[in-house]
Amino acid sequence: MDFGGFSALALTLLFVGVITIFMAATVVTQGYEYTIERMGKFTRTLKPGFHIIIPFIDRIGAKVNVMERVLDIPSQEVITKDNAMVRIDGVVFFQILDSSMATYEVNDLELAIMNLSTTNLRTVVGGMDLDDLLSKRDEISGKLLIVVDEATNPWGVKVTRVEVKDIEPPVDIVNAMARQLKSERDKRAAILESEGQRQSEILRAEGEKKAAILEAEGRKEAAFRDAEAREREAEAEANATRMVNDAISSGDSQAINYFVAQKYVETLGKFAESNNQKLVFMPLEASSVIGSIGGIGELLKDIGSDKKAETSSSGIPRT
Amino acid sequence: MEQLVLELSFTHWMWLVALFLFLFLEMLAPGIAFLWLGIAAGAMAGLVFVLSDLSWEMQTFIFTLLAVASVMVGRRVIKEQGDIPSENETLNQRGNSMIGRTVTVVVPIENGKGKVKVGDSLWLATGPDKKKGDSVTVADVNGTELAVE
Repeated sequence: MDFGGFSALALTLLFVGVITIFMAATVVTQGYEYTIERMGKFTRTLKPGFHIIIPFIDRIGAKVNVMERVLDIPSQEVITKDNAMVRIDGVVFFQILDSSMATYEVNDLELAIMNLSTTNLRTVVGGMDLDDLLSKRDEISGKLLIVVDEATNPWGVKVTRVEVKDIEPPVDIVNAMARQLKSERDKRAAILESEGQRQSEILRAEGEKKAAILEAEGRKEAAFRDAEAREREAEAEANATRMVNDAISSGDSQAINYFVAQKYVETLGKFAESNNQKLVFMPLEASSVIGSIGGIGELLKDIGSDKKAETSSSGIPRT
Repeated sequence: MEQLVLELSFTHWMWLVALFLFLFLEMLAPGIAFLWLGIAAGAMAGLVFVLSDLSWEMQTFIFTLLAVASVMVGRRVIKEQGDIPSENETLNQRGNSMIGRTVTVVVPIENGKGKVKVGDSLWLATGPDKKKGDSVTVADVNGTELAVE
């Protein structure tokens, strides 16, 4: 094997040829797009598949990832509208729709999007109260999305969503919130308790009132009945008296005397039977009893004599 | 061993061995590069079998030319086959997948610019003036802008 100029040329050509093939045959995998620069100037974008670029004048500029990507917005301290310090972080989902713009319109796309999101997050949060911040996350996301999407349009990027991941209020504020919640519940419980008490008191009072009314009504009714009974009694008494009177006026007054005398003597008899017979009731109107005996005497006198209509006005005998 | 190498050098056997070596490398390495060298080596094997008195420099030279030519021819063949078919032609092309869809105008299109709602996000739209709430059809996509009508 003699080694001459032609041999060297052949070897060099082989070397360059192989390198050329390696440079020219370009395979773009799915999910990526390559930008091609001819003499430094962007000419076209290679889509996924097999391509040949002209070596020596064409060069692959950037291998652009056109899949949807997620960027973390780093956690940061932000002051809300009502001066609360909150720690907040989020995520941005974006996709490159135009590889050339994303490569050449902006220097460092990810850094740019991240800074844009960060500053706008501060802006949005700074315009909200803490309560709104905690309850209206979708609103924050919506506002951020519109702003960031508009701003990234010139870079051929579509921001599909921006989400607030975590909102951490200061510890003392969280404690205060918990206390507030507890107090709120306590308040409700207390209110409900007193409601119940009030209700029960009212019910009890109403019951008592009803009872009193019923009782009074009962008493009234009873009184009415009593009065009626007394009236009836008086009536009966009057009738009885009248009947007695009639009997007396139609008959003899001595009949009365007889009854009275009988009662007196019966009573005396009862005295005699009682345990304390030695006890003498003073003043015992013995004279009256005697008088009644006088009445009895008169009775006896009248027996057999003619009936007279004259009545003895007094049954009291002379002593 | 040396004897073997010397005996094999620049014969059709060597080119055949090279063919399979290149195919082996093609499987290992990413992209499609060694395949062309393999094709060229295969062609050389045939050529050297017919013209066994070619000098090694000449063989190398022809091999290089064949390799470059195979790339050209291969690309032409692939082009004639048309695009490589795919089950999902609009993969990673969010815009193109929306062509033909009917969407709602959210921000009125004035002076040729407005916004439409696609899915749950807003897209810039260019087209004839429309009021808010009108339905429009996506005709074309330019980057992040939808041409609607």
